[in-house]
Amino acid sequence: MKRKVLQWIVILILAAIAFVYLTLPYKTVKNILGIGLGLRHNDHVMIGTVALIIAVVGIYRNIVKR
Amino acid sequence: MNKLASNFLFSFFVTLAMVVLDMLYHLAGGTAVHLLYVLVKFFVIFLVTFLTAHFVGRSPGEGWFTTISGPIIFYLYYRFANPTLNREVFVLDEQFWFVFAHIAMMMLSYFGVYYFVFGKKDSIKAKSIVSVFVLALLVTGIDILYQLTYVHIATGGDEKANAVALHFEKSFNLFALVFLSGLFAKKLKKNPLVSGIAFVAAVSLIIFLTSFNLPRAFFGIISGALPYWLLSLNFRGKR
Repeated sequence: MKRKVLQWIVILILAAIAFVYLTLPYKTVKNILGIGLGLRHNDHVMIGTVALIIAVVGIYRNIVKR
Repeated sequence: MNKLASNFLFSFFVTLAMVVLDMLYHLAGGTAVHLLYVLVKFFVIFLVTFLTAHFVGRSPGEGWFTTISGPIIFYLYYRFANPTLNREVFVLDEQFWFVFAHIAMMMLSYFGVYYFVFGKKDSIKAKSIVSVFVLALLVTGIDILYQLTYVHIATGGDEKANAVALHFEKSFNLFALVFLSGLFAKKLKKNPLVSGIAFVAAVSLIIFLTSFNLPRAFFGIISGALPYWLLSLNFRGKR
């Protein structure tokens, strides 16, 4: 049970990373949130995409394949 | 073969077959295909396929999940990333309906490779044709990656030159001829070594005759031998 809760917390964190890096404009991520990491816009989008992939597969594993 | 290697190979075959089908489709429709686009698509589709295969499993159910989620996630990447090619010069595949084309190609490649790996023994003839189809896709894919990488290095990373490097007729001719030579090589299956050497020699010769490019024909030995050897491995593993 504890492991399951931990998995859902990790999925939520990954989903939040995906939302921030994938959808928000470059200036918002870099100047307002200050988490640009010195990378270009397309690198941010790729970070968000990888986080989204892991989150989606995690949700599928936890919900569909119980 | 352990589970990790088995899933890695399975995902590699599915992804490369999907990317080649997609490239042929884009070339036929006059949509730009360049190295960075191919690499990003390969990475995204491979990651979805591999993570699903390794942490959930390989079955038709997981096949549908991978088939639908992979192209949708790739579409999201494509929508939010800045295009590296000029839209006014090149046609890009950024319309929404391309998701359905990508899903169809992903479905064909996932279930093709799945059938080849886990198909029943009573359908050896059909399985043999599917395996040659997958083999021809993989050989074409490695050759296309060689061409794109060569142009990328030779032009110092010029994406416009990269986007006009491939031609549908040449790529499709290569695929069709490799498919036919694979069918002939399968006829020699009594002796796998002779069959493999004949196939690799045929691939190298086909590449030379369709391009008159000697370095590419030499690389054709790797393009032919690598997928032939990898597909001969038993990578059923645990599902």
